[in-house]
Amino acid sequence: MFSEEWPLMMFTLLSQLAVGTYIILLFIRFSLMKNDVHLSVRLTNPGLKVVGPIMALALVLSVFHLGTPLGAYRAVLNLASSWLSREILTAGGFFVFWFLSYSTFKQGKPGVALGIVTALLGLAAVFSNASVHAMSVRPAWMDVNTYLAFYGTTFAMGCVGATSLVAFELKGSAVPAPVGKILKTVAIIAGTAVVVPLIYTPVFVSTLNAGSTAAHESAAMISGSYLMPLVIRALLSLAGAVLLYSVLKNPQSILPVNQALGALMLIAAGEFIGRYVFYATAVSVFTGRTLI
Amino acid sequence: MTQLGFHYDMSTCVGCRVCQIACKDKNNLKVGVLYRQVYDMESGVYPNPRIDHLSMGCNHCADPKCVKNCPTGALYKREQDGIVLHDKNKCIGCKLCLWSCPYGVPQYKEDEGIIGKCDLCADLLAKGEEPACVTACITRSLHVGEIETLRKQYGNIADVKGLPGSEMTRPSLCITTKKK
Repeated sequence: MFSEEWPLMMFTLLSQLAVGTYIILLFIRFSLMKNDVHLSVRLTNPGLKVVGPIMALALVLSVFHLGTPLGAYRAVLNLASSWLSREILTAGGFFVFWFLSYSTFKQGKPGVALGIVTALLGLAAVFSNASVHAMSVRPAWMDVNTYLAFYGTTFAMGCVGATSLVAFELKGSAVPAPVGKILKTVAIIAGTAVVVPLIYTPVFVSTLNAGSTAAHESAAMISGSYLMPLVIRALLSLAGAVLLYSVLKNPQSILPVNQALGALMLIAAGEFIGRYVFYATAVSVFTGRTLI
Repeated sequence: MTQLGFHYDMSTCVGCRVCQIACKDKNNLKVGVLYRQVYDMESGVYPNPRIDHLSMGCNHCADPKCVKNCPTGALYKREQDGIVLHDKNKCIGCKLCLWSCPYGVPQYKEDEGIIGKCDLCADLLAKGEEPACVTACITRSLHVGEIETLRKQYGNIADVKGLPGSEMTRPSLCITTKKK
């Protein structure tokens, strides 16, 4: 039943990883620029290069969700009312602007305006992606939880992704003081992005419990057969956020690549499980039966 | 704008599924694909159990979410009679309409890589005939026509237990319910 949604699920996760990583790298770049332009370029350019291929892979995977992949170009024909059309336009736009901004960065130009436009397109793509689900007829998706989950993934994965890429560039050398301070802020953003959706989960489940039959069914699945995967998801994500913070709390020390990658793996595994549960527990408003 | 729709009489329907079969035959549908589907909804407890049948095709809603959400415009509402039609040459099989229809009407056709749905047998209507499901119904529980006329004749109920609220998409459907 769920198999046909794998490409779609991977598209959502990878595109959010790409957008989040781009935004956080841009944040690091622009924050550092005031102190040391050369360092900001050296630390962020290689990471920004990786964002494009991740987004390209996400877009390719999204095509495999279609029954007629060769018609994918027609997906932008209903921008007036379809969030899916808007999602394709903004996600494609993010990829195009990534290319333009990265080309500008490579030439040594600041590219502030291009970077900001790219980041905004990325945020718009995540919003459209969440809206595609929120505008459905599945109560478990028709909730603010969808937006919290998608933006949570974007920033949690973006923070660990960007930190890992910066750690690669710093390998073996001490973290310069301004970089350490910025990375500590990144760790706090990651923690917030992990914790906020988790805190909202009980509110979400009680909202579903107060809703229709389909909403009840989703709530029963979340607090029943999918409870253990959700607990594991929460533990993995929290462990990732704690590991990231412990790595970044002491700004002057050397940034261990293995630990940064460990945090990335933990958070990615948590988000993967969370997204699986998100799709698996969505029940349509019409179940075709009346419960006794 | 004229809006065509269905009247369905739950009180006379016996759940024989001939409407489902007639629709399947008319549209030459493969196993597992149903443009009209009959649901059996059980409720109550001993000594008062009950079963209600619900025959559901496309309700050609006044505010169809499937049309709004379709990214290619393959699903559209025909101006002259309000029928929600599907252009298979535009469809890319994204299945968003399956997530958008509160009545579970659009069906994904694996072999074609696109969806399909009830078109109110628009070709038969053009010839002055009735949709296959209406013609085949052995208890005359299905009627087609201008929805306001049907509502005047049969009442304006589109909300029954088991169905999502009609405020979601404003279906062109009126139902005669079973007495308790």
